[in-house]
Amino acid sequence: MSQQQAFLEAFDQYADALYRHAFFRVSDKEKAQDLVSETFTRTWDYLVKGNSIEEFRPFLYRTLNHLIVDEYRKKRTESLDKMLEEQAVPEGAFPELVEGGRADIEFSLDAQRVAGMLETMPPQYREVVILRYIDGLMPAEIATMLSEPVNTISVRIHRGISWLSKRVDEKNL
Amino acid sequence: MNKKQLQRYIRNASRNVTMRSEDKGLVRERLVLYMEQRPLPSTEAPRPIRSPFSIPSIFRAHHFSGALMIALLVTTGTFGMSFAADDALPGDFLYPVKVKMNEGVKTAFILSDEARITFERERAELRLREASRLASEGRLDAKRQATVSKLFAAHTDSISQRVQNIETLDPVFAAEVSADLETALSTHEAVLARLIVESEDQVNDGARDLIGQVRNATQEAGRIREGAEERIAATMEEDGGIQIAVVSDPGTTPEPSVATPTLKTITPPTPKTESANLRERATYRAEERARQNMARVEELLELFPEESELSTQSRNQLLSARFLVKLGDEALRTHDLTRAYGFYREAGASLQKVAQLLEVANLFSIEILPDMSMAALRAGDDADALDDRADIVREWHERVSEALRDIRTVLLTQEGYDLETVSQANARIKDATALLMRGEIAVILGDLAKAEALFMNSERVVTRAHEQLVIAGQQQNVRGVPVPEQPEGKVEGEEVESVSEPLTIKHDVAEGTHTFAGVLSDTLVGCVINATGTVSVTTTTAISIAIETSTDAEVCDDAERNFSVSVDAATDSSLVAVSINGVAQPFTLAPTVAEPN
Repeated sequence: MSQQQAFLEAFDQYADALYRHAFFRVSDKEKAQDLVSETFTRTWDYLVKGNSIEEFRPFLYRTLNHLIVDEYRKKRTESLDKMLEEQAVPEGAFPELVEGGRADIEFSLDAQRVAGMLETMPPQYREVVILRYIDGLMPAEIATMLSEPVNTISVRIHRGISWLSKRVDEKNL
Repeated sequence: MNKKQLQRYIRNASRNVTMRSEDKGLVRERLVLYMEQRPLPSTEAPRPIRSPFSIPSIFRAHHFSGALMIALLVTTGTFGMSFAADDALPGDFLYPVKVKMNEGVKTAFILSDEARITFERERAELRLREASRLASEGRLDAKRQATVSKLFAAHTDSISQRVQNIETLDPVFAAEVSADLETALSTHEAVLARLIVESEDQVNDGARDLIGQVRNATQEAGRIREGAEERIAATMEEDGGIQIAVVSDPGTTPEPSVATPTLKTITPPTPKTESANLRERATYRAEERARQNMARVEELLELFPEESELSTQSRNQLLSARFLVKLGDEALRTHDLTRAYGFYREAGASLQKVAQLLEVANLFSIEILPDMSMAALRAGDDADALDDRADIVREWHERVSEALRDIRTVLLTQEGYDLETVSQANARIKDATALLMRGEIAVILGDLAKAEALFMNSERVVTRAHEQLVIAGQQQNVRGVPVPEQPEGKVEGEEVESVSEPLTIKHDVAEGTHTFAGVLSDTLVGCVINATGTVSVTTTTAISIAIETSTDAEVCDDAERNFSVSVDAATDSSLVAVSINGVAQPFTLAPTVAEPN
């Protein structure tokens, strides 16, 4: 199988999962799609430079993650978004920030609720919780991807879920 | 919503979030165009695969080609039995591939006993981690547990055999690996027990069997360790002592008269940990391990600033371990190697356990506290009190098991009770059995006080039930019969037991083997496809039989309705339970035949 074929197969296999991840991170369908598209083009650029990729999945996730983080940084310039980065986020989503795409009839009510829950999470928790429970990656894989020790990741996941579970009941799920 | 429900909710809710197929198609097309505009450089030359930094020394040996070497290496552990490597769990479609291909194929390349032992040990632990993961998700059903048990048994058998082979040549390695295994397995046992209790499913016998199996393996490892330690202690004390040929690495020629470094060292051997004198080597390696484990626990604790009971206890354990290490250093100064070894080993083992529990707390979000008896044993004077406690608990367990047997017998050999009485008694028996099982788990987790309380409760319940039967017996027209017929029709809560006829089973004992045989009663349709007997791990005189039947015409072409089960057990063992397709089946033992036909 040629590199091109392998690459396209990776697209077929992972695009949906990456999209799902991106969506829950940025809460914007269009944006999520763009991010996925760009993830693959950048990966292709990497291959064109003469590198090789042994396992696409972690590489793609890592790339996507960088793009998402860049996305956050871009948003920083807007004043309202500053509040998302801070630790103590007041309850409730910021619907005004999510123009053009979150609440959509195509996605189930539950998926929307989950997106809403995640939006309010502090970003460092959100990242690992999504990777763990939506992407289904194991803590060790996440650790490799983010270049952090496994235990740090595990603790963060643990805290993220704790954070959520305290607030979720109040939201009357 | 608790955390586990929350996790599941997130997982399920997010599953259906995908791109629309048109959108995905569009993105793909754009991608293809992009690719065409930026072609790859020519790919004739095979790309060099980047190799990870550290390669265990065994693989540096010459016969392996580069590609194979790389293929055999993964991320963590000496042989890379990591979580990240692959996710397949028992019961998954790809699981056999994982075990046979990913793991199995490596065995062909692992030549020395020592490396193979380490490899099998990691596999055994991996099996238990898989089981733990299943248990944490409430998915450790009997079938999956059977798979895990079988594989686990294969790994531990391989380990036992090889360690015993190698014990003569390298008792230090044998002692170390069995000590590590012992500690790791006993912790796994506690973790499994807790996970099974926490997953809201009922405790099933399959899971208990696995725990029992792990416990046996733990004890076996302990025995091997003690044997190896004795051997070390028995060597001559003079330096230079016994010179042994250590198992050599396949790439070098062994020099039998000089002790060569063992395979496990990658770095140039330090004199003391590789000393020819067994005791010295054992002691200094134990010291090294103790310090390594201390560092590991310190690292883990740094990420546990929370004020949890686990972190507090872990810190305490760390302190006592430091103290033990100091005692070991003192003993070294006075050249008392044996005492020093003891201190270092205990420090290392307790910290290994703590480290394992901290990691488990991370992964499964549960807290299992370091075994209380560890702390008690260190104090020394509490050991006796602990033993007494253990004896009392054991007594209670016996008492309850016997009481349950008795009351079951009463129910089966007497007829005339009214429906309500019988159903109440059955419900109580069910409760008492549940309490008994929870008590057994508490024993495993080291909580003897709780176990005792649970057993006492269980006994109380059974006694009540028995009393009620006696009272009812006096009021109602109850009489004893050899083969009682259960009241017909459905009874609340225990419908199956009262509808099916009790099974008559013949019991023969010969030289430690019990044989039970019988025929399916006429009320049962189908044929027997399997019958297995098991000896209870906790009550070794209790045997239970599980029969599987099928009504599938294809399977039942010879319409086998007989069954026969043989079990090795103590002579005074007795049959306590029979189940057909997982449902409890009342039974009665046929009077023993006086002479064989």
